[in-house]
Amino acid sequence: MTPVIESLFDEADSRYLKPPALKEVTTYVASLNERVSAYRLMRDRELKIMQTVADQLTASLPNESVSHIEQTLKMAILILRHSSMAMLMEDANYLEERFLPYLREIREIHATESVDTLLYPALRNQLSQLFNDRQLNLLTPYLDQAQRVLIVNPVSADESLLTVSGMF
Amino acid sequence: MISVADLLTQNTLPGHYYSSQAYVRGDLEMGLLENRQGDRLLAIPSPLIESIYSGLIRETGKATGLVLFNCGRWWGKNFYRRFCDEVTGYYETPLVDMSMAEFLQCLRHCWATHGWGKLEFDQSHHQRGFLVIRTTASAFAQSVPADYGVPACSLEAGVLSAFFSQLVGRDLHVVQTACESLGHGNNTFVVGMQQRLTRAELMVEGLQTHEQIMTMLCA
Repeated sequence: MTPVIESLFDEADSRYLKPPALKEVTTYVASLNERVSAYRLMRDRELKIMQTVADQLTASLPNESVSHIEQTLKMAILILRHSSMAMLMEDANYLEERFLPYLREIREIHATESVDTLLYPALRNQLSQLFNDRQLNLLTPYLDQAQRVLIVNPVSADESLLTVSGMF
Repeated sequence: MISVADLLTQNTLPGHYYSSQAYVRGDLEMGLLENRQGDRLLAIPSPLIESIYSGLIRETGKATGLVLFNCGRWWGKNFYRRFCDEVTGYYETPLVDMSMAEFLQCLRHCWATHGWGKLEFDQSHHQRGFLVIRTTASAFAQSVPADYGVPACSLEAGVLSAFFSQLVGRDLHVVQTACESLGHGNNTFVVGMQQRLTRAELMVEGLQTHEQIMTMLCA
């Protein structure tokens, strides 16, 4: 749940909520129906969205290795799942706490930046066809957080070629 | 043609297993800490670590480091087994088949989430048969008496020694060459074969720097 609202529940013994705090609760509750609808839509259409994105990426990058595209697709699915959960709870910290540090590192390991740059436009294109404007507005801040990670060019790590068994 | 349905056969995609938010779970009423598999976690207060040092120094004197190292070896064996079970189960890849970078990522996050501090790997001496590991924010380095005088993270050295020995199937030793408790920027550990690290241990006792020790080891 949104951290701001969660903190409001802590001190019921010392005060009633003031109008600005109560307005915050009302706004969140009023948006909840839309959030649940968007979440449900994402859950039900995940496969269709991602298959279309996969087809577009494969068509745009005929010379790219399948493993690179698959790796980007897996990360894209994780981005959708985490962003949807963050949107449902309206928790701006959720992605940074649970997923984005991992996303940054895994991109360095797999060096997928050539595919990643095409991912976000393709993903946004699909989402804008399925979701209404209100739902897109709810989702966008979280997708943008992930996008900011995707546009950074990581330093490719040579060590990715070694396996653990060859270490000593 | 890539089939997304094939990528999602289990409907679960491995993500950030050791994310502290997802990994550590607690039950306040029962006073329990558990990981995401339901295995118990042990929380150790700083006074206990301080007491372990002061008790060992009083009872065993200069052997304190050796005692802690052997405790660490024991701890490390179980740490490795659990790490192996969890990572293999979650990512569905045997540890030895993971790419080095993915394995190191897991270990770094595992180390941090279990409260051991930050851990980094330096593979620049890999060709000479040594792996250098640096850690920061070690609870052991922070809790040692100020006049201890030598690198103090023997327990961690023992854990790393058992961990990497089991990982590569050879008996590996670990020597700590720098320590936060001595004012260094990090705790530095050198992993390698026992017989090749013997001289390094003598140099550590003589308070030689990590660079001097590595120069000697790689000469």
